[in-house]
Amino acid sequence: MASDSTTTTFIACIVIGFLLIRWFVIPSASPPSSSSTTGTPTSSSQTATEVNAGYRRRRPVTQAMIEVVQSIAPALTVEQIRYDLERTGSVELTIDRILAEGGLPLPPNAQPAAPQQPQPSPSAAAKGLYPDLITRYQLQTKLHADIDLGQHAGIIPGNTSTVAMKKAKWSQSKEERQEILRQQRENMILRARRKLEEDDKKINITE
Amino acid sequence: MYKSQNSRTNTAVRRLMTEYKQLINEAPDGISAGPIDEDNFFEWECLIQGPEDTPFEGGVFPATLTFPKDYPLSPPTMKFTCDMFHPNVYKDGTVCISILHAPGDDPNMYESASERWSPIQSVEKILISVMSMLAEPNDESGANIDACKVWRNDRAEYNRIVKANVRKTLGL
Repeated sequence: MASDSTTTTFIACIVIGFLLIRWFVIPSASPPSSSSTTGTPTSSSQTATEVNAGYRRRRPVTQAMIEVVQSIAPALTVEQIRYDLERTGSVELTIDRILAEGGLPLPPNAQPAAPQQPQPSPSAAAKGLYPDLITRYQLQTKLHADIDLGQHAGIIPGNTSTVAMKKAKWSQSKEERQEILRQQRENMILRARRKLEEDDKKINITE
Repeated sequence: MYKSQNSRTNTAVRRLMTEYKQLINEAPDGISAGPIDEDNFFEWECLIQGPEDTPFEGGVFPATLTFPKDYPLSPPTMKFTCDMFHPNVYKDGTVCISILHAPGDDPNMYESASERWSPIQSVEKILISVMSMLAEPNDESGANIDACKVWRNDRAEYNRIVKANVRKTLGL
């Protein structure tokens, strides 16, 4: 008899303990993960979550939930997914909505960066998203300047790129290292661009 | 807790520094990679040359590598920052390739563990894998369904789009 009641107490303790732990662990699991989300993505999403947290604290959304949704709809932004998850509180409901509507609405206080992201029709946004390399690295002035790229540009770059890069060596100074890297990058871009231009000329001559 | 996280970050920075040094000293053909700003070692920018005898030939493609704080335990993510039409690259530029997947998470269950990320891989190996991915798309793990279809059914059209992107990226 005595052993019977101790067994019951024991089992009851385990059940209560399990429930207590669950109760403690699950609510506390969301704050650290939500703080880690604000750290990792772009700064725009950081401000978005802060603003969101300011006046609408909805259902808890964990990073894991966002990742699950994003793996199904990679074109959607974190803000969009978070906004809808806060509304539904369930990954399944959000995914159903994406599948049904082909996208998610933007949060009301969407950042200016948001229009860049393809929403329902990613193919349309794929055009003209990125500046070309010449613009990005401000190489316009160097395009036709007589800079020694290590090799004559007419030779296939793949075989010769090492020659130019061999000059670069690791340096202790941070500035020098960044300069070496920048040089390496510019040479690679300019070589490729000159090669293309020369090919164009050849085609024009033969025509 | 704080301390252990800190030491992990230090490990990551030290490792990235070593890889950066190797890449500068013995730059492999057609690859350039390094931190965008040395104040933040977790964001790299790289350039990849299009492999020869493919429609990507002659092109130079920029991409960003974003490293997790527990690198090299977890793999970085790679995203092209140019127009990239390829079956294994999502429309937002994110590269889908086995070497960038941690052994634990295999969404598609067909990659063998040896192909996937492990701490003995490196930035250089990733970039070389991506280069060979450009040359030979993996039909099984499509990331861009449109590109998959065009690549499979209309190779001439695929080549045309890729070549147009090459020229666009170089400002022509």
